[in-house]
Parts: sequence; structure tokens; C-alpha cells
Amino acid sequence: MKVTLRLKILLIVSLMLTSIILLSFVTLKEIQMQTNSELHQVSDIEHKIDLMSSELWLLQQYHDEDALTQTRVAHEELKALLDEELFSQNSKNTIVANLVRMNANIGALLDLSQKDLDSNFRHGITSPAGMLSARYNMTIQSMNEDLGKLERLAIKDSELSQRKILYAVVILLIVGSAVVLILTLLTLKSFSTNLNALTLGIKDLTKGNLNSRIEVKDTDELSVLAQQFNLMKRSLEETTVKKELLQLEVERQTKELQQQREEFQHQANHDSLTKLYSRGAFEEQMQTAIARCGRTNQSAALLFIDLDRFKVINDCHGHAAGDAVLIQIAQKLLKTVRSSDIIARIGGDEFVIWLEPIENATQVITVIHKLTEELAIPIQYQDLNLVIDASIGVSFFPIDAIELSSLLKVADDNMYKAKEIEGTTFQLTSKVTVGLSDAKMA
Amino acid sequence: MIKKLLLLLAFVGVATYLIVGVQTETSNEAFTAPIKIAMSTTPLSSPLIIAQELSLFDKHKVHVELLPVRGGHRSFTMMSNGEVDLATSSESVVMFNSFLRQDFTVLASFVESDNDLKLITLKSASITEAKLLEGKNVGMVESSASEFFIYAYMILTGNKQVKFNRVFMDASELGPALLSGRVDAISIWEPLGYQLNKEYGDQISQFQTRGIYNLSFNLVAQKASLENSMESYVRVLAAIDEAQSYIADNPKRAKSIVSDFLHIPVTELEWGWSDYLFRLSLSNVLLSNLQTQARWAIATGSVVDTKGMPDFRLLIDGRALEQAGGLVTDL
Repeated sequence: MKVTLRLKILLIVSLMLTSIILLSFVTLKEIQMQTNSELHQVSDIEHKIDLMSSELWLLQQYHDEDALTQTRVAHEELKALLDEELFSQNSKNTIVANLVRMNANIGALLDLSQKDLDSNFRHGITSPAGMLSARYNMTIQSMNEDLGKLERLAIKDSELSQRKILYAVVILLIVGSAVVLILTLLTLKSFSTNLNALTLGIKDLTKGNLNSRIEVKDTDELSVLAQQFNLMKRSLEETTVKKELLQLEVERQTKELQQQREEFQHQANHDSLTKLYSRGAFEEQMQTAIARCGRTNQSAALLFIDLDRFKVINDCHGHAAGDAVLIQIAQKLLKTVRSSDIIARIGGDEFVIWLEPIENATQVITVIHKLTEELAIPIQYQDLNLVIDASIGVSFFPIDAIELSSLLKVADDNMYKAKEIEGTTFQLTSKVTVGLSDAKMA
Repeated sequence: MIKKLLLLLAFVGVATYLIVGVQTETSNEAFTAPIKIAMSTTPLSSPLIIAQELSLFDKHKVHVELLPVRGGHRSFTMMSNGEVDLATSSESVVMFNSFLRQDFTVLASFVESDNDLKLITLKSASITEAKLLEGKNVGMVESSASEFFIYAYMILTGNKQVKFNRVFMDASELGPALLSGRVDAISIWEPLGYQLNKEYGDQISQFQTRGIYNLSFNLVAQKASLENSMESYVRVLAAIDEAQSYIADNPKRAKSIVSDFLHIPVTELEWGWSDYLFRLSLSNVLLSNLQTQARWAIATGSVVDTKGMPDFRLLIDGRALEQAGGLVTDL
């Protein structure tokens, strides 16, 4: 039950209780007034009967016309009073009816007294006066008896109604108070339980716990509040989760982009087939290398390698075979030189190697020999044993040139020369050849 | 919370019981020995009939046997012979018997009527005034209200000196005696007066006698039985009291019950019903009535071999009525 509804019921019950108390007072007052009025009526009748009784006594004492007239007056007055008396209860009206009848009997007896006035007045039971006197006395006594009964009835009825009202009020008050008590206890309990739960929920939230929920058992306003609190917590939790997920996604995508960028850079700098430096990357590397050598006064050599009969392999065994050959060649080159040396593929079957530093031409020739030996090993492609020859042109820094383009040109020229001369696999420039035996070129 | 509610309910229940329950009296006493009542078959006995028919005696835990008899004087005889425990008799019967014995007591008066006795003559006899009864035969029931009534009437109407012949007979013989001309007038109680009126209304005439005489019907017991049976008598009176309340509240239904019991039509019952005043009482009115009648009886020689006026106070015992919660005044 909702708290406001409970409070409304409490208000209504309280108002009802107040009304009942007021109403009971009013009713009690009315009953008292009615009782008083009935007692007054009884008292009036009593007075008239008393009056008639004393007149009858006078009649019996004086036995004259005057006394009889006075008695008749009293008798008529009582008759008039009894005729108008009306009580609320049947039992009382029955008694009044008896009184009316007895009064009528008095009337009949008065008629007989009238007759007796004319006769000789005598006492004794066998005389009319004696017998009448006995009858009058009996009737008056009987009337007084009924009157007493009427009085007692009036008082008893009033007591009964008062008691009934009192009981009704007591029962209603007890029941009403019980209802008020129960409602108050229920409301109090609901308040304390729900407020405790809400307080705990808020404390939990303050600690940052978004998972916990307040247990909602009822449908009252505080329970609705608790429910709303739970909804707010869920909403908060959802928002937080979304934010974290977004962060993770951003990080994942950034990483992916980074990888892609690195891949693109690698692809841009390297030959996609052999994974060696591309021409562009090689040139870039060379700028740094030449500058470094110039700064440190070191010598270096550039080998220009061109594969012989590569076209034939391509044509005879297909491009796949050519590609396989190129990959194997690149492996061999990498295997042969130092890791600090720069290797690049700058054309279809053209490779360059930058050896740095070198101290003399012999060192270079040793490398060339190692290279030619390695290259002489046939390359296996499927079930084929492919033999590749290479012509190598060499240029030296700074002897042959100090710029890349010049160094490349010298090495290229030397490569062609080596190709032209039968049985030669490599060619140095003449300046270098002269001083081949020199320990130091630079 | 349920415990609290139960506690509250228990509290309310106990409180209600304390306020209301304590006021209710309980009576769980066992049934007492059967009480035989010789009941005069007249509507005056209505309270007893109603109590019997509505099982009010059972309700008040007393076993009662009603034995219908013709007239209160017979009822009294049965009681004094020890055939029954209680008799229903008019105060005239009590008065006449008080000169003969002192072993009985009046427990309560339960009905009164100011018009139960009638003075009836044959139209053909032309007795239009009381004084015309001079030398006539008047039928009456000896030592009963019937006897006192005719004398009271004659005295009150100033005709005491009128001499008539008393012809005693049984109540049931009065009507035929009048019709056959054996008597010229009869002093008779209801419903015999009504029956006569109904069947031979054109042949008879009735004197205006209302208010002349006040008849009461009383419950009379043997003094000796009083100590042992007091409790039962109290219950009988309580049942009669309740029956009288029933009569006051349900007059129509009450008349129907009495009419069925006495085998008389409701119209016949209606005839005298308004004359009856059903109430349990024991007051100086009865004492007064008894003394008046006793004085008359002595003065007129209606009783013989008397030891003077009986002390009626010794023949009235208000204890049972008092215990039954009825009216006992000035005794």
C-alpha cells in the first residue's frame, strides 16, 4: 500500500473517530433529554393521580356533591393528560393504556358514588360507600403500581440506550485505534526499511560500486524511489562500460593504423618480392651513409650486380620461377655481407650493395668472391636446378666519386665492362685496380 | 508483522469481552423436578399457555406439566389435595379458602381484568335493573369470584337490600340453567359469557358491570412445598414474565397460540382480550382486594364457622417473585 494512501486512511479514520466521539456525545445528550422528558411525563401523571387520590379521600370523608365535583375535575384532568401522553416504547404505552382503563373504572365508580350520594350514607363493606371506598383504594394503588413500573421502565430504557451507545463507542474506538495503530506501525516499518536500503544504496554508489542494486519488495513511493535509484545506477554502469569499450576500440584501431603505416613504410622502402631496400629507400639510406663516410673520412664501395641469363629463366620457366630466383638471390646476398651493409634491388635483375667501411680493395674483392661463390650454387626451383651468373661493377668512395649518382654510374659502367669481358665476373675502375695491392686505398 | 496483528486482535477481543461479556449472566443449572400446574381453561391463563407453547419453561430450565381444569376453584382444590404443585385461582377463591385453611400461599398475581365477570339475564324475564332481581334465582359458582361479584354489584349499585336466591352450580351448568329457566340470572366468567352471548345473544341481556370488580388470577402453592420447590417456582415465574413480554410485543401471535391451545376461535378471544392486564405483581392491591372480599364474606355470612378475619399477609409470599425479578411492592 502506498504511503500517501496509508496517511490518507489514517486521516480518515482519525476524523471518523473524532466524529464518533462527537456523535456519541450528541446522542447521549439526546437520550438524556428524551429520558428527562419521559420522566417529566411520568411525574406529571403521578401528580395528577396524587391529586385525584386526595380528592377521592375527601369524597370518602365528606361524601358530598362538592367533593364529588372536585374528584371529577381531577379525574378529567388525568384523563386529558393520559390521552395526550405518548411514549416511544410499546411497553410504556401499554402501561399508559392500563392507566387510562383504570381511570375509566374510576369514572364508572364515580357514577356509582353519585347515585350513593342520594342514599343514606353508611359505612361498612356491605354499604355502597364502603365497597366503593375499597374499589377506589384498590384502583389508586394499582395505578401507583403501574406508575412505578412506568418510571422504572423509563429509567431502565435510558440506561440501556446509554449503555448500548457506550459499548458501540468503545468498540468503534478500540477498532479504530487498532486500525490507526496497525497503519502507523506498517508505515513506520516501511519507512525505516526503505530508507535504510536507500542509504546503503547511496553509500555503495559513493564507493563507486555500480553493480549492487537495492532490493525492492513493495510498491510504495519509497520503493518507487529505490527502483528509480536502481535504474539510475544501471544507466550509470552502462555509460561507464561504453566509455571503456570506446577507449579500447580507439587503442585497437590506433595500433592497427600504426601497423598499417609501418607496413606501408616498409612496402615503400622495400622491394615487395625480395624484401630488400627499394631504390628510393636505398637512395635515402645512401645520402646518410655518404654523409657519414665523408664526415668520418672512411672509405666505402658500391657493388652493382646484374644477373646474367635471368631473362632466359623468366622466359623458359615463367615469372614464378624468376621470382623464386630473385628471392633466393636476395637471401644469398644477405647471407654473404655484413648486417651493417646496405643491400637494395633497384631494377628487374639489378641489385646494389653498399659496403661500409672498407679499408682496401682486397676486402671488397674478398666479398665479391664470397658472393660469386654463393651465387654459383644452383638455385632449386621445384625440380629444376637453375644456375645464375652475375656481373658485378664496383665503384669506391671517395676514389671513384663522392656522389651517389656518380658512384652508381661508375659501378654500372664497370658492371657492363665485366659483362663484356668474357670470363670476368666483376670489374673495378682502373684507378683502383692500379692500387690493388695497396694496403690502404684512401 | 502478523504476530503484532494477532496480539492486537487478542487485545481487542479481551477488551471487548471485559466490557461486554462480563455483563452477560450465564445460567447452567440443571433441570429441576417437574412442576405440575392445574391451569384454569380461560384466556386469563394465557401467560402459562404461551410459556408452555414457546418452550419458555424449558428455556428457564424448569420442567412444567400443565393440567387444564374448569375454573380456578377446581384448580385450587387439586393443589390443596396435593395432586398438583401450583394452582391458578382468582383472589375470590383464595379469600374463600383462607377461611378454611392456612396451608397455602399466593406466589404472584399474573393477570388482572376489570371486566371478566358478567351478570346475564334472560330477556324474556325482563330484569332490566338490579333491584328487579328481588326474589329471583341467581346461578353462581360457590366460593368463587362468581359469588362475590354478584354481591359486589348489588352493593355498589345500592341494591344491597334486594333479596335473591343463590343457586350454586358448576360453571359449565350456568348457561344451560339460565336458558332452561331454572335460574333467572347468572354470574359467570369469560369466556362462558361470550359463548352464551354468541349462541343465544337474542335471548339474553347483559348488565353494564365494567369496573365494578377487579379480578386477578394468581399462582398459588402449598406452603409446605415452598422450601423444596422455591427454585423451580422462581423459574416458573421467570418464564411467565418472559411470556408476558412476548404477549405485549406480539399480541397477534400470542392470541393465535392461546386460541389454538384452548380450542376457541380468535374472535372469541378478542372479545375479552383488551380487558386483560398481563403483569406479574404482588402488591397491596391484592391484599386490599382479599380483605375487602373477606370483610364482605364475614358481613354477609357467606363464610361460616370462622375464627375471624384471616391475616392475609401470612398467605402471600413474595420471595419467589422477588427472585424472579418481578414486581413486589409494599409487602
